[in-house]
This record gives sequence, C-alpha cells and structure tokens, in this order.
Amino acid sequence: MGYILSNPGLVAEYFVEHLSLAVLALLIAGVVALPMAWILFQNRKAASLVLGILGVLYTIPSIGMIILLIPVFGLNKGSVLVALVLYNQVLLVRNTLAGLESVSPAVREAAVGMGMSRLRLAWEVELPLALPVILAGVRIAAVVSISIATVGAKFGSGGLGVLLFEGISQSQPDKLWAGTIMITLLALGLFFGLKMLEEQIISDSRTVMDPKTG
Amino acid sequence: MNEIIFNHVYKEYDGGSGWAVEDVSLRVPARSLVVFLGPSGCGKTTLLKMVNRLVEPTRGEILMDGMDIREQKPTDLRRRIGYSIQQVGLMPHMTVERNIGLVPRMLDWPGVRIRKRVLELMALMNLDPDVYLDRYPAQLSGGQQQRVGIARALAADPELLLMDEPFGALDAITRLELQNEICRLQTKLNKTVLFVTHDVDEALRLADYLVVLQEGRLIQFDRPIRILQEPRNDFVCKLLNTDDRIRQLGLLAVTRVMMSLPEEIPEEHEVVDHRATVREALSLLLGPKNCGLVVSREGKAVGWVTLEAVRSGPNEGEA
Repeated sequence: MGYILSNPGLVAEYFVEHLSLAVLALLIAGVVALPMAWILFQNRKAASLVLGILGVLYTIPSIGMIILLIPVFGLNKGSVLVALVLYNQVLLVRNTLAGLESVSPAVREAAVGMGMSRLRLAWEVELPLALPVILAGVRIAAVVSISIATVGAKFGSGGLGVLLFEGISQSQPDKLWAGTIMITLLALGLFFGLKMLEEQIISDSRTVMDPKTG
Repeated sequence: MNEIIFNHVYKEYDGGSGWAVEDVSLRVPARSLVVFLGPSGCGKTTLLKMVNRLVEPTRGEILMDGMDIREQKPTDLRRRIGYSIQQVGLMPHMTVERNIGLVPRMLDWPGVRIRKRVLELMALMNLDPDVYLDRYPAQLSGGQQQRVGIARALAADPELLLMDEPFGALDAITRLELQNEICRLQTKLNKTVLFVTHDVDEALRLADYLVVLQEGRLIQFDRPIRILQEPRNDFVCKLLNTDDRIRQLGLLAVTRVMMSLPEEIPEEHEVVDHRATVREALSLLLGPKNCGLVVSREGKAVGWVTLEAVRSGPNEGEA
C-alpha cells in the first residue's frame, strides 16, 4: 500500500494505460464480433468451423500467443493488442451466437411472418433479445483482458503489469503488492461495474412476472 | 376482395420423404373463414405458410386477387397479411402497445395514428388499455397474450388473416372464449381468414368452409354441414365422426327446425335465442317436464320447437 500512496501519479498512469488497452481491445473485438456472429448465425457450417478455429486459438497460452505475434507486429503494444483482440473475439463471438440462438423461434417466426426485413429483425428483435448474453460475454472478456494485459507489460505494452515485473526483478515486494492490489481492484471493479450496467440495461420488467397477474 | 386460389400446389421439403403437399387446388372465397383440418403431418400448416411465403411451393402457384403472390416482395406481401401463431410470438422486450403497433410502424404510419389504432384494437379484443398498454408479454396470461397476438395481426387492417392453431396451447375455457371472440370478430370485420387446426370441434365451430387434408392431399372441401352429411371417404368419416348426429345438430341453427307458434303455448316451456343451435335446443328439450321451446329474437317470440320438430330434421332451404 505504501508504494501506491507514495507514487500516486505513476500508479494512476499505469492504471489508465492498463484500462485503456483492455477497453480498446474490447471495442475492436466487439465491432468485429457482432457482425461476424450474425453472419455465422445464418450459416451453421461456417459457424462450427470458425468456432473451432477460435477455440483452438483460445487454448494457446497468452505469453505464447504474444510471442507468435511479435514477428508480425513487432515487440511492442501492437502485438499485445492483437492478442487481446483475438482472445476477446473468441468470447464475444461465442456469446453473441449463443444470444442469437436464445431468441425463441416463435418470436422470430412471428416477426418474419409479419414482414420484418432481415436487418430490421436483427436490430429490433435479435440484438435486444440477445443483449443479456452478449453483455455477459463482454464482462468475462473484460476480466480476461485485464489479466492478459498484465502479461503484456513484459512485451512493452505498459500498464500495471510493469509494477509486477519490476517488483519481481528488483526484489521490491512493495511494488509487487501495489501491482497486485491495483490489478485485482481493476478486474473486480470492471466485473461488478459491467454487471451493474447490464442490470440497468435489462431492468425493464419484461421477464419479471407481476404477482398480481400470475 | 382477397380471394385466394391454390393452383396445383406441391411442396417437397429438402431431405423430406415425398410430398408434404401434393397437388392441392382450392379456391378460397373472399370474406369467409376457411379452416384447414387434419392430423399432424397432413400439410395444413405448410399450405398456410405458403400464402405469406414463409414456405415456397415446389410446384404450382398461389393467386391472391388474381395476382401471383410471387410478384410481390415477401416483406410487402406479409405486411398486408395478418399472421397469428400458436406460440403467439409476442416480442418479449416490447410492451403490449409496441407489440400491437409493430406492422403499422413498419408501414411508417405516424405515431398518433398508430396510438389510436392500438387503443381501438385493445377495445375490440376486450383488453383494458389503462391496465395492459404498458405491460410486457410475460406479465399477461396465455389468453391475454393471444388476444394481443390477434390484435397485432389485425393492426394494419389486413384483408387476409392467417391463423396457425392460435388456440392450441390454451386451456379449454379460454379456448372457447377466444373461439367465440373470433366468431364475433368475423361477423363484424368480415375478413378472409385461413385457420389451421387439428381440433374438430374448433373447426366445426368456426368454419364457413372446411378443408379436410390427409398426407398432403386435399380430401374434401365444402361447407361443414355438407361434409358431415356427405363425407367423401372413411378417413373423413372417422376424423369428424360423422355418424355423430348430435355433432351435426351443433351446426344447424334452431331457426331451421322451428315451427310457427302454436295457438296456445303450454305452460311448461323454455325460451331459446334464435342464434342457438339445434344441439343447444335439444339439450333444453331433454330437460325435465319441458314440452317445447319458444324461439325468441330480440325479446319477441318468433317460433316454436319440439322434440318432434328436431327429429323430423331441417325445413327446406339453404343450409
């Protein structure tokens, strides 16, 4: 704790760096994953193929993944960012697909039968109904991003991981603790923050039974 | 208008074995309620879904007011046709108001007009707007959900309505209630309605015309009473249990067997409404110490029915 209190500026800088890297990766992954999952949803064969490939990617340990990317993107933030996007991609595509699948066939049939176009169906029906599952995916992806971004410090992406690695190499338990505490706080904060946001978004009473009507 | 013509329509599903629908030709008269009746797998739902192009026929054509339905974009065609299904399919994330206004919104009606129409339809379906307008589907009972579903199907005032076993998932009492509702709506709105069911009683209760289907083929198409009186084959006999005379009487208006009022009406009698069926009249006649029934129309006695009259069958005239 002492380190955090005596170096608030530096710790805050690392904190922001860490968070912005994770958020940037999430945003990029989200922009790609949403349309990708939607297209995969109409094409079952492609879906199982892509999910298979993504599944394999996900099993690669994060350090290994970043090292694999270094020849392409260099030993810098870029490789770490790409690795983060890839991991997020797996989680987001999977959850978005699961969300789309959770839309009841009756709802879909009624919507199409009443003359909804494919795009309108996606925007007005599928997206809002799949949203809870998609947001759950975002929440998990956010936590995963924080942990992988920590490893990224080893490869020049900055962030709170720097405190960890310096703490180890310089034998400064103070720094090590500072890093650990801040990363934990960040991960927990993001998790519960997103959880609250989710509940806010999905708070309309649509799934709550009114006891009066039973 | 909205006369529907099926012209040698066939359907074979991918990977299916044989025809799901085989050579069905049928002219659905405009402004009548036509029930497709048959056991599961008889092709009734497939036929229905061909009309709004959720299913495309393998061969043959379907004409609406003389025009091939394939000449229209499916989305445009569907917005002109009301559609209601067994599982209702209300949008769980939309209020009753937004659900009913779905098609008008797609047709870009102004908000004020949509709102007015929604209130109108809720009144028509006996749903109190003050209570239900802002509710979500999960807060409604099954029967209320289906009422909203029907209101939604009627929203853009389509001339043609497709109903795919809309009451199949409801309990018996609610089902009867909504069947009566449909009868009432039909006399009021006079739409062309295609109605799919496997429930024989429901079919007989609602149908102006009945289409009996078996294994994708059209077996018989006629007025329900004619099908009961002259079933085409054993299958129709068994399906509708045409030997059941009581069932036939359920389709006959009491006015068809009534006689003129006797000089002196016996003291022991009951009164029956002129819209009742002979079956209902018979049930009353079989009550204790009942010599006859006075048929009343708007409070005035217009005729007299006895057991003898029921036994001797309908008077001359169109069924």
